Amino acid sequence: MESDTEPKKVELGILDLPTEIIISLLADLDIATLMRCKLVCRFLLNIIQETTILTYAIELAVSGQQDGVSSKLPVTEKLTLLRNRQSCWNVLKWSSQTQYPMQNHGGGLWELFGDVLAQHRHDKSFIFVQLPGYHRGIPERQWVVKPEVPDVRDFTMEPSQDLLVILETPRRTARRSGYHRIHLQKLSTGAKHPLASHSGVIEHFSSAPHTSFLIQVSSEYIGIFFNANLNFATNEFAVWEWKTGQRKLHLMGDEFRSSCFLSDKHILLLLASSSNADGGQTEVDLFVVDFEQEGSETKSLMDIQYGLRFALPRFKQSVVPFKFAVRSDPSPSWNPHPDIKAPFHVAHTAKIFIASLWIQEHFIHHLALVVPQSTLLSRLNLLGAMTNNPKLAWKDWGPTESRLMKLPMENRSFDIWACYVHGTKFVVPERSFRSRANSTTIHLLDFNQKALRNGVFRDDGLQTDVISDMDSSLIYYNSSLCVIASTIFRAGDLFREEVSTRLGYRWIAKPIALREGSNSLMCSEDSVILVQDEGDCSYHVYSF
Amino acid sequence: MVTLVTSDNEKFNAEKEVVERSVLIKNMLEDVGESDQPIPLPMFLEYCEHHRGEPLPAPDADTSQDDTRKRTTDISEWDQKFITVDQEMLFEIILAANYLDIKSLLDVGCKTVANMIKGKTPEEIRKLFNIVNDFTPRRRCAQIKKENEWAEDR
Repeated sequence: MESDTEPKKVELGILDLPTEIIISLLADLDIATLMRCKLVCRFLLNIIQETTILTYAIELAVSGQQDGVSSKLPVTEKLTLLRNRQSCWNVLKWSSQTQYPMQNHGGGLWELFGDVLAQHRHDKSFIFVQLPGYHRGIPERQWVVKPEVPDVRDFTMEPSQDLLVILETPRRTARRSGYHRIHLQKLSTGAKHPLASHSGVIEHFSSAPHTSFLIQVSSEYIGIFFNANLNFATNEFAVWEWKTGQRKLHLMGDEFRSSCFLSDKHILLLLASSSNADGGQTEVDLFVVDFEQEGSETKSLMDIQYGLRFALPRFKQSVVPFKFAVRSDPSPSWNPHPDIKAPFHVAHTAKIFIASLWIQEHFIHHLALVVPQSTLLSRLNLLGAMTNNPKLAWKDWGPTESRLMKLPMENRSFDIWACYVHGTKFVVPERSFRSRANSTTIHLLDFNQKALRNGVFRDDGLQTDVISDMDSSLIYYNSSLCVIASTIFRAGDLFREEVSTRLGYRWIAKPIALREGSNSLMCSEDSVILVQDEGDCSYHVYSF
Repeated sequence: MVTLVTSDNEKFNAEKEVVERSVLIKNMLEDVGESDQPIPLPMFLEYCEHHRGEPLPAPDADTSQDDTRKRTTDISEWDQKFITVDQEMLFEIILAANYLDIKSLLDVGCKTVANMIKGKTPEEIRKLFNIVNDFTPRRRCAQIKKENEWAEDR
């Protein structure tokens, strides 16, 4: 680089380092700083624009993915795969379509986690399908396991830890309490899981009967929500360390309505409590509890010390919320199994939580509140620092950092169990009568903020539009919109005061023709799955 | 025991096992065999002494996908102290580590520089490293700045 004149003792500067070293230290930077380095000088700009490994890091960040360390594919190849895959998701152009028959004609248990679709069959066996990923090079695989558990009430699995969690049908004891047995088995064989240091069964006594269960695994932990649906028993939520069988948290009370892991040590609950000051009006809050700090003894809402409430806007007097769910997928620090050799996978930081509320005013409405993980995590410094249960007012977190919207009512994804969120993607089906009789439209709402800002800037064939909620007359089929305008509920329309939220999203709609109506829609890393539980009951898997 | 000579002709004795952290020296030792011939070197003995006994990286370890390589500030306290030097010295150490092929030291050096850059504005980075802004016209700069906006956390 220098001329060959007498070597003057020039001070050694950063740009005098060999290019491969400059690349290596740029690769150590966070994405925002790396992008800022493009503005320092032309030399750095050229390096950043022309180095594949840096381009790959940037595009991973844009698409909400992280590198799969167990894949040894060259970076150039990973970058090509990533780009192709992203452009297909952007227009919902799947590579293949497979139909899997529903084993129990709509009645059985099923589960979707970690790109594995599982069904429990009448003969007490489980059938698992590793869903294929075309761009990521993941082959389809099916296997059957028949564990020795007498009656399966519910189950879940965690493929990256080869874990199958089965909740046995609870038995009633003499004192009318429920006796639960939670079995920890190998997903591959159905044998006792070798990492469970105890008998392989966790036991739990509870009030009874519960009508539904929600089992989730997040790395070392299992969380189970026991939902009594206000029916004789009390709602309960417990967390165990699955390898030791040790209980970490146990909450009891009908205020708790749903739960979901928020981070490696935080749980997100949906609370509904009637306010005494307000004539018994139901108040709904999101509630984060630090289960590492809280302690394992049984607690009611009032006893919790390491909790933080995020208030939702208050409903007007005549509105009655009656059903609740909070969901997010995959679990907080989930990585695919190393054997899968995934070249990349959804980033731990790319995550939204969806709180669903069904409310009744003259009609039934279905509301979804979408909250990015970062919105919640960035406030947790308030946790445990103040008096019991500090509470954040809605105006201090909601309007700019969430999106509250009304969903089409013909959507049944929420009536039957379905996994409608994955990373920052949220899928909603709509039966449409406009274009073709009995076709179904897939709506994909992607809340990836980096991709949205990048897309809006580049104007890559995207429309930016001022639309306020999921009113389908505003989107054309096979099109995509960036929604950055606020969704507004006027004062007195469901809520007491005006509620305006403006977390942006990209909205993609695509119709598919099906003879029978379909009921719910699920989303996974490489697939969109239509669950059809009428007619020829089956799962239609559209793979990317 | 091997004898190492610095660029200003100072001699050091060191155990073979210690200096083999440098792939270059390891290869040189293999080349000269068991002779007493001295080996030239810049400053790095202290570093290798401290890390004596730690496993050496596998020869085919892939830099770009090394899972042990963390994105953030994971530098041990001792390394941190060792690397707290002025900027020019830091770059000298990085160059030496690169030349001698000591991956762990090179990583510490790169991470240290990365930490210095983290969170800074382009102007601050220029000032820190004495870099001249050679963008012409300035409009180009504004264009990139706009392109970058998606990456900033809000």
